[in-house]
Amino acid sequence: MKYIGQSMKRKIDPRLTSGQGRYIADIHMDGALSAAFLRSTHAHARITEIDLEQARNLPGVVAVFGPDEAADLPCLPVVFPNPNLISVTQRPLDRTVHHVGEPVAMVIAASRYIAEDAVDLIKIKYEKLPAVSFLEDAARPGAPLAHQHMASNLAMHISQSIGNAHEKMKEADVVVSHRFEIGRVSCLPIETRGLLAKWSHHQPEPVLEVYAATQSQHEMRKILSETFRISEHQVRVIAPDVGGAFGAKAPFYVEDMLVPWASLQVGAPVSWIEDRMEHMMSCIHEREQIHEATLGVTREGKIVAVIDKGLASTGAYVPWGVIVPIITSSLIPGPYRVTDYACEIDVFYTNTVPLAPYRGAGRPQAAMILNRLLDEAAHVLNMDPLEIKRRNLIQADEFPYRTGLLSRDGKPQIYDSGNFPKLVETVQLEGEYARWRKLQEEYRKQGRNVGIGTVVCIENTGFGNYEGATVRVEDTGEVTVFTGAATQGQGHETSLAQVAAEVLDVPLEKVIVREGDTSLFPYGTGTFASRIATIAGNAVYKAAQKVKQHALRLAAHELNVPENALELAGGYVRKKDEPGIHITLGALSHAAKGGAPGKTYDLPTDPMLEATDYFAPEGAAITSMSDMAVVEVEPETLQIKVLHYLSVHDSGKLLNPLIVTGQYQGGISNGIGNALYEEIVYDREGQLLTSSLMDYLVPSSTEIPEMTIHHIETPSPLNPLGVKGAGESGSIPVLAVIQSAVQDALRHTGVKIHKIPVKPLYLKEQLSKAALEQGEVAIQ
Amino acid sequence: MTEKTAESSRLKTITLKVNHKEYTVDVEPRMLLSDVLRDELRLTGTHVGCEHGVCGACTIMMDGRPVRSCLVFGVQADQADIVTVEGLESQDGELHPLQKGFWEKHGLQCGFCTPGMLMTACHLLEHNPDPSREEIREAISGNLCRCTGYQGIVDAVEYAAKEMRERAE
Repeated sequence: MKYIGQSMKRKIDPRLTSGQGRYIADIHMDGALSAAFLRSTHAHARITEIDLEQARNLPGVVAVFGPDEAADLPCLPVVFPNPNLISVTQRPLDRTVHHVGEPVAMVIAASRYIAEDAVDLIKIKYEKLPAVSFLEDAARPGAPLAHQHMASNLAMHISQSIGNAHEKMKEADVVVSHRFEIGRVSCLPIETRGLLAKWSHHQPEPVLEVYAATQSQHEMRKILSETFRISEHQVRVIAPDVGGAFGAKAPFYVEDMLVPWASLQVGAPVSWIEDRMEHMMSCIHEREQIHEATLGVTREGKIVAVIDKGLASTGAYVPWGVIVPIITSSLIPGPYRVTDYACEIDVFYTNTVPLAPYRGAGRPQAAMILNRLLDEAAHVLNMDPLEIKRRNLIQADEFPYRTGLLSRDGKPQIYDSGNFPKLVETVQLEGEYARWRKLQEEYRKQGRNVGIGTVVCIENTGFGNYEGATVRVEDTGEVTVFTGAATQGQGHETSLAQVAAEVLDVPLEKVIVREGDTSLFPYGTGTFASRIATIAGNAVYKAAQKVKQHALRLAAHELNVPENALELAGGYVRKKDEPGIHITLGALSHAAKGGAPGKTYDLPTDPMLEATDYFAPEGAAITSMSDMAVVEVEPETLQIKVLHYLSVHDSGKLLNPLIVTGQYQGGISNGIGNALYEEIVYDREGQLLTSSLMDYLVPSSTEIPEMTIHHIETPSPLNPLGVKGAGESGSIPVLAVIQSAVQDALRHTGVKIHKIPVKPLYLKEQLSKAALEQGEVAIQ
Repeated sequence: MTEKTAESSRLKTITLKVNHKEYTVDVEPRMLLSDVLRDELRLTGTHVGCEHGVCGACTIMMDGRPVRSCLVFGVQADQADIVTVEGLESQDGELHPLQKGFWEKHGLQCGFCTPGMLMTACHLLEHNPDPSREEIREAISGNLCRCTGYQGIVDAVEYAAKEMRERAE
């Protein structure tokens, strides 16, 4: 193929590297005012007094809004309702606060500087309520309640099973158990959130225009139209260049309601750019779960049964349902053949920032559980940890494979395709697994703690419901592609252009992708869940195919040549055996408009050389990966260094290997941050202890190792292009592979690694515990 | 005293050169240089990612040194000679070898950290025309990127170093 599958340089880069990007904070609008929020300093409290007068009197302040002024605003909508879920969503400027960082008042002023001055002048008194912050505290009977109207903190009980794991476990030759304590992290795009709202009253109906750093402009439009009780055509939401998102910019937040609302109140455009501290204390977090899991295997290492019991936090609200632990529960078996499985996860409210999908979305947790249990079983059986994983994989000839579980969309979970054994073979070969095992022994003799971690896991990518695309040929011969998607760095402007260029055989530079604007395409679900290449990509493919048919029929008419004698090539439709007889796509676009005004339309095709089509997948395309990490733990400082990192991915047919490799590298780097450095920490009262980048450690170029990436391409049978998602998959194996490697490096000490992130201080504590236990054994 | 005069009496007049062009602006003493560049001079290529000097997105060259413009007040930049990402291209609009390198080697995804990365890398290559990968990693370790995992960035800086050495020969 000429375009699809080629590592083409990104079309957007010259603009972004020369400072010509247009991010939300770069948009200048005459007369725009700035917003700043007063945020709660308590995790759970009732506002007893609030005095806005002094703030209102500060020169430059236009308006100050508190709970009274915002009393008529609705709670945020329930985005992923579930009959078993007790949903509590956030109310803008509520009188009762449920986590530190919740907005309680809003200032609109001539500049952000003045707005922040005014925030300091607001006088507020709280009556503190009992707060619950730690997940295990929230789960205890009699715990303080995160929401006073609830009988307990339980939001939902999730239960998934295959066969009868509890009975079957009794038949296992070896049973191992492990506890997993997975810390909370922030998505942390380098660009924070932000929006700019403007109302216009110069048209028949009021029109709201919102620029927003969002992953989902159409969803935002829907909620805004409901909030202001106007129809969707009166709301336009535009996602300009967006500086990364990773999940942070998918949910609809109270600020997204308050800024347009304030703009309506003050009659001027209002902008708000989140600062980093606000980001840490109000933008969604993820990962926090605790699991106690048990695996039974035969003497040969075959999986007999898997039982998992977990706790998950959803924070103070459910901005995205409780999708994250639901995904975890459905993916613990992952790439392995598991006939008997039981999983029970209780999801609890706590007085902390809400949790919603961060790149990986519950899958990194799932990947840890069975992979790490297999490590432990291999240790008991004196078997190689990669070998025990290999022995339990679903085989390439078993697809479509029904797991017996329900997927996150509530339908039976079916894996479409893959070649898991080949992933492992590639790791062994390209990662030089055997050589590293030998080196490890040599290092051990020198007193060096080197460990090798391995993992095999999957991601169910490309969920529905659908995406659409319009492909239009312009009179200039250029091709414009409109989609309902939005990009935050994934390079859609290039990869989606490659699809249209391939079908229509036009040079890539002649294809322009336009997206991230509700006025360009009627509806789109959004850019998350590794879905755009798969879903929008195939929508572009289908629409381009229609345009191609249209062009051939029209060219046959214009050139007076049978349609089947024609082909598209290099921006022309030409006669296959007589290329001199041709017409440009631009001329066809002009012709398709039907000639001079008043002329009777007599063409054999519909007007305009364009087509719109949709792609709705029947199920998820399964991306699979196997990673290997080699780490060294420095004996004195217990610093962990990644010596070698290899990742083998199967994302089906790749549209652009350069972009896909970049996605994996970025995902792995997020995973390494998650596994070794990053953690959002609250104290027991719900005070946030990590509210700046001085305490929340984002890995830099000196922490992230060189990564070796290998691609395997098993096409998905579920879409015409055969593609599978790639956006999140890089992050999924990393927690497991790093913990696996650290455990391997320190196995001889008797230490047990339960926690993520694995930090030197934690290792020190665990090593002391292990030494103590071994000491006791020795005494006995 | 009216509000207007109270405000204007707080303002300081500064003159600074940015990308070879001289500007004179009245700023509040507390206004950050990053805000002066972005809001007063409308040079929005310099991005603000944390406002506490950790992420490095706002890095610019000031009198030949890379500085975080969110940690400098505008008034401290009086008489300074500043280069921002908008000033990296040559006069005839040709991309700087670093900009080219980032394009060739997929050194950016969302592009938000890129201006700061470019300015830091620019300083590195001025002082070390042939850096090792290790040295590149060390040099850019004060600039956070959340998208690329840094590998493409290191490749891009290596690419630019090579191109700049070849040009110099």
